[in-house]
Amino acid sequence: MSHISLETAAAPVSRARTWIRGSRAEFLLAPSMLYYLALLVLPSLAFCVVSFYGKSDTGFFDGVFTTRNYVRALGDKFYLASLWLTLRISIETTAACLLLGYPAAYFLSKIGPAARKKLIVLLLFPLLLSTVIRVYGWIALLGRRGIVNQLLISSGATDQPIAMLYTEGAVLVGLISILLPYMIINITNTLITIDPSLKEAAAIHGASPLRVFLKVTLPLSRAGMVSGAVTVFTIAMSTYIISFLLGGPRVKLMGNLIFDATASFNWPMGAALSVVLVLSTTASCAVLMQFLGKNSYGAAR
Amino acid sequence: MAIVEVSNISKQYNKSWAVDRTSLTIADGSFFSLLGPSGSGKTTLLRLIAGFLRPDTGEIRIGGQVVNDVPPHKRNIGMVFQQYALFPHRTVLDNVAFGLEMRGSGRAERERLAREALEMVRMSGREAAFPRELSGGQQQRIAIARSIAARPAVWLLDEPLSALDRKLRVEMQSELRSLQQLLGITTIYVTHDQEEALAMSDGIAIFRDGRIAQQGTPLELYERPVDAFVADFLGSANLLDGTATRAPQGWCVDIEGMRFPLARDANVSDREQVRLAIRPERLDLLRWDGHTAGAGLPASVESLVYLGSDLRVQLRTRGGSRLIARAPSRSDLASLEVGHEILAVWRPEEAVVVAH
Amino acid sequence: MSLSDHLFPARTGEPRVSLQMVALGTATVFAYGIILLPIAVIIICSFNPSSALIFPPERLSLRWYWEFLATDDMINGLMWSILIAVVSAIAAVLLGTMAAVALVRGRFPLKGLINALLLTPLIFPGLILGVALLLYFQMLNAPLLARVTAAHILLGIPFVVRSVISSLDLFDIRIEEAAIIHGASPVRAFFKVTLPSIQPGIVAGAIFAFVVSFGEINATLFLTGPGLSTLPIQIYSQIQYGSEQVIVAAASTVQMGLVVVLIVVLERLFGLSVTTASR
Repeated sequence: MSHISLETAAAPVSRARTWIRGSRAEFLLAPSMLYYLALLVLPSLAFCVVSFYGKSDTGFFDGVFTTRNYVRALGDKFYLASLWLTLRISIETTAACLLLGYPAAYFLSKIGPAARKKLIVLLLFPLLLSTVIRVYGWIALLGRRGIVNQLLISSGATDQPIAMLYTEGAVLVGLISILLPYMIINITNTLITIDPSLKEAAAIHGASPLRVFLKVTLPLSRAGMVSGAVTVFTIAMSTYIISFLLGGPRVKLMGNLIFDATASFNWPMGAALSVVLVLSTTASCAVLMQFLGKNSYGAAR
Repeated sequence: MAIVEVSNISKQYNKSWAVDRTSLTIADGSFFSLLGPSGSGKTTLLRLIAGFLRPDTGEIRIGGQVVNDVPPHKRNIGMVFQQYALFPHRTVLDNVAFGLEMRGSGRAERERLAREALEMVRMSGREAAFPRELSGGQQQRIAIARSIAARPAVWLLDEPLSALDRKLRVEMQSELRSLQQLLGITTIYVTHDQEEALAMSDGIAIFRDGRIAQQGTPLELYERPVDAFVADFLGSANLLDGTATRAPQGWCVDIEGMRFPLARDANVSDREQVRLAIRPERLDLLRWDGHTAGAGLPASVESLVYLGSDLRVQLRTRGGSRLIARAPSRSDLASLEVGHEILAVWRPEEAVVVAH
Repeated sequence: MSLSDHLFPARTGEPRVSLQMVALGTATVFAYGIILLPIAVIIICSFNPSSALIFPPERLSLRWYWEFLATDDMINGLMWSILIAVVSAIAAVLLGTMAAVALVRGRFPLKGLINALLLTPLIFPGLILGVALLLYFQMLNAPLLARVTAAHILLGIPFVVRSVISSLDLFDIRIEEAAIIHGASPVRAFFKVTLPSIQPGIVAGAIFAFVVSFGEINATLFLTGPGLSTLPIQIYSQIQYGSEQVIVAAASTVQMGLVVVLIVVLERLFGLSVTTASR
């Protein structure tokens, strides 16, 4: 009658009361919640409030409510041009990462799991390095006396160094290089979850390999493309170090204007530009998700 | 519709032969089952016929044409997958119309044929639903509709009923069979359930270790298994070892000191060690006092189990062999009790000599 | 099975699979090139003996590593970076582990929302966090070390929360209950049984918090100041104003080396995949 003795042993175990359970757990949450309140929520709220004040030459702000900062941020050609440039470069980066990242992700999803793991680690390693290091690599490559120009001149392709650094193109290359791993990883993770029998079902019912891809693989990997695109786009929108080091003073993204406003002690303007940047990023992501669509395919039973 | 011929096909996986020099001919319009335990090669053979795998040796012909180098999408096959493999991002109608869309039918045409297929599986009215909104049984029907909507030449079914509960499974068996007869489509059905194979098929091939152990009609396989594996796999069989003897009235076999006549057509030689396979329901049990000599194998009742309308009796012979007999529970055997002595008897033609 | 079969287990009998894989492989090499080329260039250039970035170097030398060690700003930056990363990793582990345990074990409303809030620093733009915190700290007149460390703790917590939650999800709570049945007090059972079991998750979270702090620049740039700057900030200002560019390559390689060592330690000691905790 061994099963009976097992049952009697099991019953009290399920009634054992662990130390951390139910409402007692809330106390463990308190320190991190307080920390977030003090260092994330309050600073953000204060920042939003400050965006509605005027600037002050003596303090941080004048304490008088105004919408002037927003009127300028959204009305002034200078700021609007920067917002547009930021959006354009971010969209271009996202599109380039999708185009470059999808084939690589597709390749990674087709190889064996052991080789895939090694190649994914190779993508994760750069993400753990400081952004400045990765930007510096491009400066070394693209600079006036950089490696690309050295090679071009020594091979006789040109006798004058070509100006590649401090252009919009350099910023774009830097952003793509730094953000591409996010896209590849996101798409790969979705591709490997697609049931291979779906592709077989498509093939056996008459779909050529190209149509299997277009009708099954591509639509089912949309979730990975959306999450990859949102990640890349969001980070690109708030770029300032990459654009500063690779684009120089001519490529003024919203991030650079926020930096400049802060550096000239115009806190309210910096705050208003930040709010505009966050809201336009959020709105663009919403549009992006609408555009690429969400995977609902009906409610689960 | 087409005849499917497989000749001398082999496929190696990780240095072992998943399918080993197998040949098979499946008649036009017939329902053929590939039966065997898991890992026996039946699924691999199905995937070779589908074109998902390329054979290492041999030829596959569909409708007389060699298809070894024809990719799956050009083989004109319909297939039902084990876990249905419905496209989650397409509605029921778009799932069913998939094959027609790939074959280039116009929208109106493919919707008409898809609705027709849905009607055949009695799923009209759920055209706009997505697969995940349907129950397992409903998804199954959609998968069936998708596989037949484009009227393929060959229909492959890969253990399609294994995920259903028993009641639904039996219901679907007869539906699949009548659908197959309605369409007259050459059908290859992979299953590990012998009852399913026996109930549905015109022909069965039993797989073992990548090779076909025996093929034939359900009746042939059941009544004349070539070896113990086939006998045991197609419904359990009692196996009795004995020695063949030539007696004046014909071939006999000596088992545990008793002599039993063999069927007239038994192919044995004198003093040969033989193994007999006898179906549990073909074994008759006679009440016995345990002493008087009788024409039967003496045994005692070890245990009795009532399984619905069946009575199963487990016996131990004097020589230590274990036998199982099966009888309707309303038969006179119902009065048996554990410990009773009985004589097990059978008609000579019910005992099949099988290979060791 | 041939090598190519092993690498690309074919699922369909499509004869052009290999051609397709060659095309995809080429695209993959290109994508990896864009990602890894600048990193490779830095490593190679850091062994360049001359003060110009000559590629490929005519011979290899450790000159710029010696220069790095002899540059006070760089060494100070490295020391501050290590100190801040260690302190913020420890603090992030304490706060993050408690929050993760609470989220997995507790029963209270708005759990999903709280979980999302805890992960916000992952998606919050570093630039805006930096500027907002700078204003906040200026108004509070907070000391520099506290500013940087506080921000880095915030950025580390999500990594700890996520890796500890995934460890806790794998831990069978009945083991803790069994310890209590066999006489351990609930507190003791938690510390003697549960905590050791989720240790890999905690260590992985700590290492990620360390690495994030060690390389962070977007927010940090606003929070450092005279007398206190981290290694990435030193590299940044050296790129902008420095006359000796190659020392940047050496400094960068030093940072990479430290990250590699930590990841190898993580994999060796705990057999963890770095894929589990990255975003």
